[in-house]
Amino acid sequence: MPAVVAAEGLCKRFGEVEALRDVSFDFDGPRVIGILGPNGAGKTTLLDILEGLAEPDHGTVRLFGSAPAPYPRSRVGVVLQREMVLDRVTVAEYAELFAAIHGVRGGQARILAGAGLEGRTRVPVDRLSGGEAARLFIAAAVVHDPDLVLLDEPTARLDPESKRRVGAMLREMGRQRTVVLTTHDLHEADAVCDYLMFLVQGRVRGLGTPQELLEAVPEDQRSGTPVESAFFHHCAVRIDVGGDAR
Amino acid sequence: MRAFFVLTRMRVLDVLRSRSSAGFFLALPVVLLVLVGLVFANGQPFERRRMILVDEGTPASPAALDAIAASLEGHDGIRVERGTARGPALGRLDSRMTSAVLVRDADGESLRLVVGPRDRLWAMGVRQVLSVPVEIEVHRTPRWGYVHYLFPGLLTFAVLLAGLFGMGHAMVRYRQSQLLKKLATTPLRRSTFVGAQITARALLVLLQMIVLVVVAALLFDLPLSLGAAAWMALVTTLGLLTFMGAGFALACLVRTEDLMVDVISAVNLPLVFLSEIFFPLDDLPAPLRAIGDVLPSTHMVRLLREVTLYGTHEVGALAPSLLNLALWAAGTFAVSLLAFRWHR
Repeated sequence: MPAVVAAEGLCKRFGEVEALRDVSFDFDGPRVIGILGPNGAGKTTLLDILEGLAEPDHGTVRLFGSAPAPYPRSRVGVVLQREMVLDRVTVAEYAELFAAIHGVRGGQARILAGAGLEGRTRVPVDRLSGGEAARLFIAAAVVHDPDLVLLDEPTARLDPESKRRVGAMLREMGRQRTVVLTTHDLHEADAVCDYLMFLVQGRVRGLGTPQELLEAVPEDQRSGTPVESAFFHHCAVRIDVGGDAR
Repeated sequence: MRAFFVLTRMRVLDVLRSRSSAGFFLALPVVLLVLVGLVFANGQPFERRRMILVDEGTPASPAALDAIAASLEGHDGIRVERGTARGPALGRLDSRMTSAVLVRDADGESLRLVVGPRDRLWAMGVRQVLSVPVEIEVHRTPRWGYVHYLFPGLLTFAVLLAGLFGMGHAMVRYRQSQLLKKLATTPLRRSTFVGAQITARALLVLLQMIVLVVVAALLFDLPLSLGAAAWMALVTTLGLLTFMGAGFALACLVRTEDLMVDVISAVNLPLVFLSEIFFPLDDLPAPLRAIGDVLPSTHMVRLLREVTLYGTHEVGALAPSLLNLALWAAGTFAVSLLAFRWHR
């Protein structure tokens, strides 16, 4: 059974900045995979490459066992770090648009139900709370039942309750399909992800289940959550609440 | 197909729901029309002593008209040109773009000098200069003739703005708001997206055109036949495609909304002055005239004047300008589609 997403030796450079360096992994599912790293680690660049929006300078990507050319858009759902919010577009219209693009009959109702926004259909998307908007974007991204969902920091800037609710939504999704998300939130990674990849300065510093990653940490060096301990041990940096390395 | 309709509707609503966009889009051209109507209620601001010579005699006698032209051209303040038929020439008289039409009648003998009521005295002076007998005919010109002349220009101006802003500015806004990047992650085809943008804008411009025509007809007695309206819709659509293509091409090169507004203004302003929107090109210096002659906006204005004011509906007569617009539309869209990226 081929990996759902596999990368081999990915490198990407923007001028002097080396965004990704020799990144390799095999992700399979169904489960929730977290790419964890501080701001500037190369998470969005990596996701752009996996989404087919950018080309690596070197290395290859395989989706569902094949080179992604043409890109299998109908099997992949994407939530961007900064999702589009057009002025005055209502929740119902947003849902209708993505249901129509994916050609899913009854998709609008499905998105609204998935996001728990059936009672907010006439509200402009830019008036939703952060949590409501995140749920809408995620529900719209999976309206076509994709095998793989890629999400770039889906819970960034959300309040704790919204994070919990979106986290539950992602865990539920991860039971049926492969979900790959990026985050700099160690607690979120701990609560939501079944498998982790630590990425710092464009390099993979750790790869495995939270338990596997924690096993490498000596007992006397463990503090905070298991993921916190494992991340510091493997990467030698901590991440502050804003996502910056320190 | 459903995505096409949803995107089209979303684009139309995007404009109509915004008071500022809808006001700018629908009200500005009407306000301009009313404003110029009031400003030029008593005619054009500059005096043009122009005469069109039309030979309706059988057989035609170019030599006779050549002699008349020669006798007039020695005098300052009058410009003589040849016309092909009486109807279009009278259309120019109605719109105050000529002061007189000299017709060699079908019998080949009599000459008739047709002028507006205000030019009767001037016509008597002209008759003194001519060496042949001429009958003066006073033609009732519409009160709002110069406003009629301006109407196609204002419509072109509105379409120009709609195209550049509607496609150019919207694309940059969509790119900045991540809409294009988001759509790139879906199976939506580029042609569906661009088609929906064009269709939505075309519907809005059609609405704008109807509002302008109704206001022009009610306030300024704009005469418009069904045939002229059909031609106007066709020319407007072609012009819109051309300017949308230009806006699309600019959007492929310009990254930010602010810069796009500046670029559109920089493109728009010279186009307005070099495109016969407010005045004919032939009094401009030759280099500017040469530039104006190739601009799509000039050809759109000329086409609209031909079909609405001068009664020209023959495809052959309109073909050169139609071809110019079509070439511009094809060229700008070709450049755009080559340069277009969903995201940077």
